[in-house]
Amino acid sequence: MTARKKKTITTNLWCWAFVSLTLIFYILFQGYPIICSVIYSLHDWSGMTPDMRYVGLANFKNLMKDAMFWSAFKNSFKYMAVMVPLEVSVSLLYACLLNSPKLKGKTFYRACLFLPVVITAAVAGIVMSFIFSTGGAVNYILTSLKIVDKAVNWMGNAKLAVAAVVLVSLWKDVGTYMLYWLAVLQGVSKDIIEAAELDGANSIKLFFYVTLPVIAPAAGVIVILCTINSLKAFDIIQTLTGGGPFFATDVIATYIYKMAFTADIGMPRFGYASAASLTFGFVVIIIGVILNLIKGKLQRKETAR
Amino acid sequence: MKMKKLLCVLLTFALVAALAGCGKTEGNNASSDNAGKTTNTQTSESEKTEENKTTETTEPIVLRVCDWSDSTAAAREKFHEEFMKNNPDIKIEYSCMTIDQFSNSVVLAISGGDAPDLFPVPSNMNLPTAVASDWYLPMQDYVSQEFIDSFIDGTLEEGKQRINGVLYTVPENKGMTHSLIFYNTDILEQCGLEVPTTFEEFRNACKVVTEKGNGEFYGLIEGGNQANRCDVMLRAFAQAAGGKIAVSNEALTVNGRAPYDSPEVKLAAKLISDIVNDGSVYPDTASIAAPEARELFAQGKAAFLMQGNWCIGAWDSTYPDFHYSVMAVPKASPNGYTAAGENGTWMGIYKQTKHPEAAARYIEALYDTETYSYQADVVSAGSYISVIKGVNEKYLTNEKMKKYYELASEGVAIPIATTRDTGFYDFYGVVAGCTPNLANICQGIFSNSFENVDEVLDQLAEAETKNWQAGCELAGVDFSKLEFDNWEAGKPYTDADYSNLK
Repeated sequence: MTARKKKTITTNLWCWAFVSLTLIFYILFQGYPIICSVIYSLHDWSGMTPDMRYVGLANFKNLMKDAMFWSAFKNSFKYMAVMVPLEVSVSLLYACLLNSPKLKGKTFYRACLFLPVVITAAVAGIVMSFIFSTGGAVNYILTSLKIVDKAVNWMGNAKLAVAAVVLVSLWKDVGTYMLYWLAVLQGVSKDIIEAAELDGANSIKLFFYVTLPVIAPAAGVIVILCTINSLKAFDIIQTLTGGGPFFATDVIATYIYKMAFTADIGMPRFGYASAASLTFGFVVIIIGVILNLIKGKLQRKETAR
Repeated sequence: MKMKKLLCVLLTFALVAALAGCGKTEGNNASSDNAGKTTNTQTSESEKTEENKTTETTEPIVLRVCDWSDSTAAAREKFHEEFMKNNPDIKIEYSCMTIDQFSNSVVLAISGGDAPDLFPVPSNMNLPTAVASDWYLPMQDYVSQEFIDSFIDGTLEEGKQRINGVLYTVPENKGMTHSLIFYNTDILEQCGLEVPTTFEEFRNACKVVTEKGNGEFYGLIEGGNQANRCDVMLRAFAQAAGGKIAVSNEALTVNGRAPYDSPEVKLAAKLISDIVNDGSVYPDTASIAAPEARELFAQGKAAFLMQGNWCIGAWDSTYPDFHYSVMAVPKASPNGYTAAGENGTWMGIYKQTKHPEAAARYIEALYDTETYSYQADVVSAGSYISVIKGVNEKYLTNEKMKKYYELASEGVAIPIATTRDTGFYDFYGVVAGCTPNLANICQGIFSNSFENVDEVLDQLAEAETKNWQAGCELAGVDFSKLEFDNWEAGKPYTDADYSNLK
């Protein structure tokens, strides 16, 4: 064995040694549950009793015919389609404002915008359900300002419930993406900004022609994160609407939860819920890969310029 | 070389740890009977030794108890204090959850082999399945015959508390219907209304109240976010219309079909839909749970609320100035009826508990009327009707509870598939439910989500019939036994009727 080969092996072994701890945790807390899900998805099992009945792909076949699954599937994508542009743009706007050297009290504003992120989503959902109730603060403001004649039933109306969920989710998560954007914006070279300012660029031109092209590659990562997080949305929706009224806000995660833990007659359907989670997980992975490919392509184009 | 050795040791350790981790988790979640049995044998061998050890030392045993009896929480707290005073070797850790929380968290704890020492059978499970899954110990090995004899005759039922005569659980209280209607007497008086007895009168009363209330109070309130309450409500109105329909979580067919598309169920759905369309329902009904509806009702936000007897004790202690009464469900047919309540399965001793004797002592004390006042407290507070001999005669003094009990006693027994054939316990263990189910449909009515609710009910009946057929096939029971040809709506179904079945 040559000295070079020996060194390569030693380096590799060191690398494995360092990643081993993470790998073990990954196997235990990600890999093992995924394998369990695959096994459960092939069984008719309530999750409550020891008797699992092997049904092969029957759960997946039934899932394909389940209108409620597809309704939740559609709702998840609708939610994503609304949330991603909203969260990415609003968080970018906040980040730009907070990055402005002219703004005073930045730390205070940053803390205010980030505060909802540290509140437990379940608590936020419950508190917001009170705020949006007919006797809650939102209706009080709307009726006091004479914007509406009588209290609006936010959670009892399908369209309004969706709007309320979007508003609350935006309020809750925008702080996280704002921080990402701030990190990216702070990496923009001051020299370029100053040069553009000397050339007479105003704030808008500065943003669109200087800052945006520089931060564009990072936007890809933020969009991917936002997309995957919005497809995984659960806690806010579960506590705010429970997927209602009549499944109007039922997304895949709330659908899986109901299937796995509740039943009107008989037992819950843990195996079926596992099949639903695997199917949707597979779709999310595909979307993640596609977005990553697009991002890579754009980055390569940018580098080629 | 040293480095290599170190790396080998590290990687071997990592691999062993990963495999050990996987192996252990698998063992805990083991589905095989063998695994369960091995664990249980080991536990039973070590149980007594450990209990003896604990008794010898001064460290008290921690007895974990979990249920969803929120309406008796105060009396329970008092009982726990008394119990711990009389049993200094036992420390009670009591958790009161909602049914949903219980179903989600305790069931997972059972799967992990770390359930509380005492817990009730979840509402969507039956005792035979729970016992077959090794959840409960035979209770009679630990409690006295005197304790068993203290229960009112017939309250420790086969299939609910006993399996082949062996006692596993005890019911919390005497079963009563949960579908009577409470009304706010002040509001009805203010609006000049009599107690409604028909669907039409009920709808009209809700309308009048809402108009008079002018946004201050409404006709009807319900925990529309809580599926079981919506299910109970739709079934209760369907039965009041003379419909042949089972109580919640049970199956019965009419003409070989799940009866959700029957004219009576559609009439019940129409009644709720009409009340919603009249604007006579409290606006947040679709998004609130039953406890919130109970509170808002007591705060005078609505004239009518359909809930169970557990409200009485809670209201009397929290809202002593609240004037209310209880009425039967308004009828839409001379055959209209209210289904009689059934005793619940309630609580048993966890099979893997390390302290079965302490758990049994707790259970005995809970029903002991000589040393403890728990049964007397809950009955006199109007929280529920006791299953212990002599308690109700002595302590049922709450007038509202008396009225509720009287009305509930008018409920008629309806046929039960498991009474006809115990094989249906297996059916309930394998049958898959539909989504949207009857509860979801009622929730949809509250949120005005349908253009044609009858169509949705037709689809439900179709889908549920297929599911029940598949469930019967899997459980090896005859689907036709879900049909009770000699059942007449409104007439009590008796033991003689079961015997006369073909």
